[in-house]
Amino acid sequence: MSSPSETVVWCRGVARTYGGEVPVEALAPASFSIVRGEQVVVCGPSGSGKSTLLNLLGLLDAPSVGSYELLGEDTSALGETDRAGLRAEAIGFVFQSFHLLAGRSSVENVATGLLYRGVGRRRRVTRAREVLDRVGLADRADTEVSRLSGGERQRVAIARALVHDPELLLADEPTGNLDSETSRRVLGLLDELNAEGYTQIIVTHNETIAARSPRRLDLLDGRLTDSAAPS
Amino acid sequence: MSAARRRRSRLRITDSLGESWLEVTRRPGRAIMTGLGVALSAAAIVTTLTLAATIRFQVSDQFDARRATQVELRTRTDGAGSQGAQVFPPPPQAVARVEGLSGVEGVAVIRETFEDQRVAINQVADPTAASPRMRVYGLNAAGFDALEARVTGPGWDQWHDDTAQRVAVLSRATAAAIGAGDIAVGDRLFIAGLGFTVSGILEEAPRLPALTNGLLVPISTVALFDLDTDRDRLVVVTAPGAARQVAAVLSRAVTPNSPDTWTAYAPEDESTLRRTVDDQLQALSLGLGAAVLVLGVVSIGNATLTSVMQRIHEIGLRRALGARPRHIAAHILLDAAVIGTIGGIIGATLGLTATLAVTATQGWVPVIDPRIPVATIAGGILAGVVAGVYPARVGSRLQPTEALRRE
Repeated sequence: MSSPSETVVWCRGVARTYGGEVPVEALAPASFSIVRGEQVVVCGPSGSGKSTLLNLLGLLDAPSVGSYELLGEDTSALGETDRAGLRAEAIGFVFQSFHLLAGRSSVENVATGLLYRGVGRRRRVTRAREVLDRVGLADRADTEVSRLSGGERQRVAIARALVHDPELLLADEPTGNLDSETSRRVLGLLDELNAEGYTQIIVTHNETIAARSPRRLDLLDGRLTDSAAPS
Repeated sequence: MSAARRRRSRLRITDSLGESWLEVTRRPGRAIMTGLGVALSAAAIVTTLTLAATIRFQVSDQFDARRATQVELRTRTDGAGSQGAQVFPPPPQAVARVEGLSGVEGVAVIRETFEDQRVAINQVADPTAASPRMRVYGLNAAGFDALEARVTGPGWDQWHDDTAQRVAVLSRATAAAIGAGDIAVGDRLFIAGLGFTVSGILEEAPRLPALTNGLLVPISTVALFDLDTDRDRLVVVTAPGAARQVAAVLSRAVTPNSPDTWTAYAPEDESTLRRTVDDQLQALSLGLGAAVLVLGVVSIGNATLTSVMQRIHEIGLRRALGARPRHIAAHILLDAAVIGTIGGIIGATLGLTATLAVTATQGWVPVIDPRIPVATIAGGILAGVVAGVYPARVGSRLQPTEALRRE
């Protein structure tokens, strides 16, 4: 394990149980840490708890028990306002279905990633163009997203996740809607970004993708079977 | 203070407006259709308010100012009025008391015959000959001025009144009706066989136009004929605004000991009339406008709620990007407000166009208070905000995980 200053994610006994007449334990207590610059794949079949774990790591949900520190900050005690602030500041999301805003151009979609940080429109657009250039879509910046291919859309989504230079990039089945060739290119882009220092957690059910990554966490029936306790 | 608190997510109001504008302009047809309810409501309100102002102006313009300064005093026709015939015409001192009332500018004492009388010109009356019949009015000498009657010739004075002189004044229309279109002062004419000297030509009688269709004789002279005492009356001309006050004391001024003998007829006060018109038109305006406004609000609310459900993934995405629930609420409220604004602008334009069309058709002068369209657009914004409250509440309470997951 790395020193705390290098630790981006530190989970200690994090679990999630959904209420109801019969409580469902979606994620059993899990402990692991991820250091700056790591690329970690969370692998497991459907219903294994991958999305639950990703939502917890992305501060979209809160654990039922346990402690989750992001960048040294104990998020368990944070209210929604502060969690939203941390999401806007430190986390970038890439979704399987892209979640691009229809009717808007690539650059407008990417600039949306800075909308909730109080950045002025001109700076948002300038930065969005820089990132689009980085992901190889400079010439498609002003194209309406419905006119882009699946691979291009996912690259726009990655650009949106990168536009605020996040400490942690979370990708949920980033190639799930792409053909194999396009998937390879997208994964290549994620590798490049990891090489540039972006800490990544990629959720997938695809063994081939999982096998590419230097570190993997396997989930089965809500249990993390290959976790590493923080030092 | 924690790092997260230092990094609280922020959304500029201009950015939120920009997002709403992008959303609305992305689907302009939907925005216009959604805003149609507010547009119709706004059009109804603008049309009724501006037409109300225009009609009020017409009422004011056409309102008979003379009638507003005129009080009639008649003897009562019920039991208490049985003395009327005995007290009419009032004695000179009674008329003088009326003339002395504050606000009184003139008094006309008027009597008229029960039936139209045979009238002949420059000949001895022949009861068997066919001759025109005319109503004969008795009028006191001061009545000409009081009624603003314009007479060419001497007319008559108090002496003629006091001594029941047989003099007559008639209009040229009356003269023409009796076959004497070229009649002149000094000519003779016969009323029911009694000879009269023409002492004046009545050019106009704006306060009592009926006089131009008959013959006028001194008030005491008219007693020569069979009189319709139910139509005996004093016409009291007042200063503007004094009519109702004068009417209240008029009976007692004429017969201090038996004021119940009389009934005073005061004109409808102009401001009361105007207020009545205003009230009716504004009630119509508010009723119609409110009904359509409710429909507009429901329409926008329904469409906005549907939009929230359709954009549920977008809400999840925005939450993931750092939007707080209040930011989501602001987006939804502003979307609805922008639609309300569009509805207000369209409605105000339609309303003003309708008003201009109606006034042009009627030949009226349009009276448009510039505050009305401005207030209407503001009302459209408010309607949008009200309509957006519930959808904003629903949207802002969505959990991001649920929003992203929902199909």
